[in-house]
Amino acid sequence: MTELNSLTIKQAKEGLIKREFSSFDLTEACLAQIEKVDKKINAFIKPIAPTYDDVVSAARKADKLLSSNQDLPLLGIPIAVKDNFSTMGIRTTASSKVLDDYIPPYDATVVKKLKDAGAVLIGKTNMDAWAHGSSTETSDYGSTKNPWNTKHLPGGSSGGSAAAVAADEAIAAIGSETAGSIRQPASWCGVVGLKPTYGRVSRYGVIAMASSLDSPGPITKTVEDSALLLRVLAGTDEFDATTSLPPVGDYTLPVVDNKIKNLKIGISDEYFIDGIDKEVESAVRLSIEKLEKMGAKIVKINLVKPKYATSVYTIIQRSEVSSNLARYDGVRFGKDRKLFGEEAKRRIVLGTYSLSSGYYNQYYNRAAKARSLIVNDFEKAFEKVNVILGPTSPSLPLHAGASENAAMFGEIADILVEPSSIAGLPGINIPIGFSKSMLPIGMQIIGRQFAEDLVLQVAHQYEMATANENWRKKRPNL
Amino acid sequence: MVKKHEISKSKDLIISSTGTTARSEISSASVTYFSDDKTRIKHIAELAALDITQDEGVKLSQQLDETLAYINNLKDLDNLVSQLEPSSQITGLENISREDEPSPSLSQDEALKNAKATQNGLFKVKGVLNND
Repeated sequence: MTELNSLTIKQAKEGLIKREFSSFDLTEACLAQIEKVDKKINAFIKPIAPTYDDVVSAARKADKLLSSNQDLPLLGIPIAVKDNFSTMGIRTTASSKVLDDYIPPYDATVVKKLKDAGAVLIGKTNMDAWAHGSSTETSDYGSTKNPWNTKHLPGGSSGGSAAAVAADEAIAAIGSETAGSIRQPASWCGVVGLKPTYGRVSRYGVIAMASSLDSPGPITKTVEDSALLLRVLAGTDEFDATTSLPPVGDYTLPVVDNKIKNLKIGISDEYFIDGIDKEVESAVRLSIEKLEKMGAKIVKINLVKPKYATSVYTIIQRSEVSSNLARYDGVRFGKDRKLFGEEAKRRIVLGTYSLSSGYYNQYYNRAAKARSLIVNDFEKAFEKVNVILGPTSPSLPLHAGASENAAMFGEIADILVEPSSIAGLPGINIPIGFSKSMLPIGMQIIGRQFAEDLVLQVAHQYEMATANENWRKKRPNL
Repeated sequence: MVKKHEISKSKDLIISSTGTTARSEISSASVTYFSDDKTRIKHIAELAALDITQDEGVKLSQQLDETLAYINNLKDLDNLVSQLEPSSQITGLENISREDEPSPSLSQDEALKNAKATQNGLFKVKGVLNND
């Protein structure tokens, strides 16, 4: 029989409702898996908070509600949360020693919504410190390893969340993306990662990286689970004035529909950049052919070269980083600024420089104008196509140590997800197979703002059409 | 890693950037001020309240130049963006406001719980207007 910890949210919910097992059983199975494999992959910040007793009592509470037939969307489901989400009474470090002893006095809106939906918070996941990076190697608590091959990186910054889901340490996890931090680790760990439209999910209580870009979202085993979690997380928030006003979609995914038939999928050759891994390229091209066979119309489009988005992103993000990290003065909470790591300093230095007197026009303002160009570029593309598809990452998961001494590692690794992030668009990574070396390959589907519904449907249809492909049976050997 | 002579080349490119619109936007005072690497990093570190050792400063300065050399590619787009307004956000939202009504918030104890130094229920900070 399938181990309980390897279930999806949907499967776990069915089992809980039918009383085949309890939330306690499910939670224990996840905790046992953490105990067994986390020494090898370091997906969680140690010591794991909340404590064992806290987790178990949350599961027992869920079981009580289940026995009185309470119907909540995540009742009794163990979920891991990236350590940049404030959790009331539970240590929150953002993987930086500056926040080593920080115990937030309140919950981030995302955490509150998970709790209200009945979820069991199972642990806080490792990440690049302050979410600066795409490797988790900038974490002050040691790098996370890729569950498929521990000599390789899981990606980042939500590398702990992606690895925890891939290794079945949690039923699902929450990540956050500024540009790539959900989709890229999801791609490298072979799981589903959704970056919603900017503003669709509240940033309140998330330790800020770049406030005009940060977007929390789900990391899951299936597209259906992603839709289910988005429904819980999305919506306006009185504590975040940038949350979007349009009503939240239903995101229900019908088992059979003809969404793909005559759907116009845009492909930009610019996204198959020079130096792209050949196995990644051929896997994505093969997936495009499959979608064509399913009835989609493939339309060639030309988008602005992603390398310009990397520059726009680097300037805007580092400028916002330098401003956001200015608040850490060790007075109200957290420790001294002396404890900032190398990557944080590097980003603060460039951000401070680009915002400083005499340089603002040359850097920040020029980037903000180019941002408009990229926004318009996507708008024009979406007049011709319904969704845009491409590789999520230009490479397979890189070897541990790859980020060392690379001044722009994070920004370069995320080159293919930066344009859509800059424009605030929703995008999803779905796994499409493995390399010969048994490392996961992912593909992204991007939609116009608030088109999460369509993006999820296309991803879901693809997932169902390829459900029987052999590679889907593989599990990490830990 | 970029080699030393390449760094100085890229720095010239950016700091003395000749003949482009960027040049006219940089005041000559700041060019002089940042003309030497050490002064530049020291000034940035002061602005950002960072403690940076000499070794770190050298490395950060090199990496700053490396990054500036990369992002300099945005100049390619100057003709395309000259007529565009800068975007600082992409939500299209404007003036989100609410009634200014008081509501429960953190208690004084909760707010102070993470502070390293407190006095009489207040945050205690180092003096900022001391003479010494």
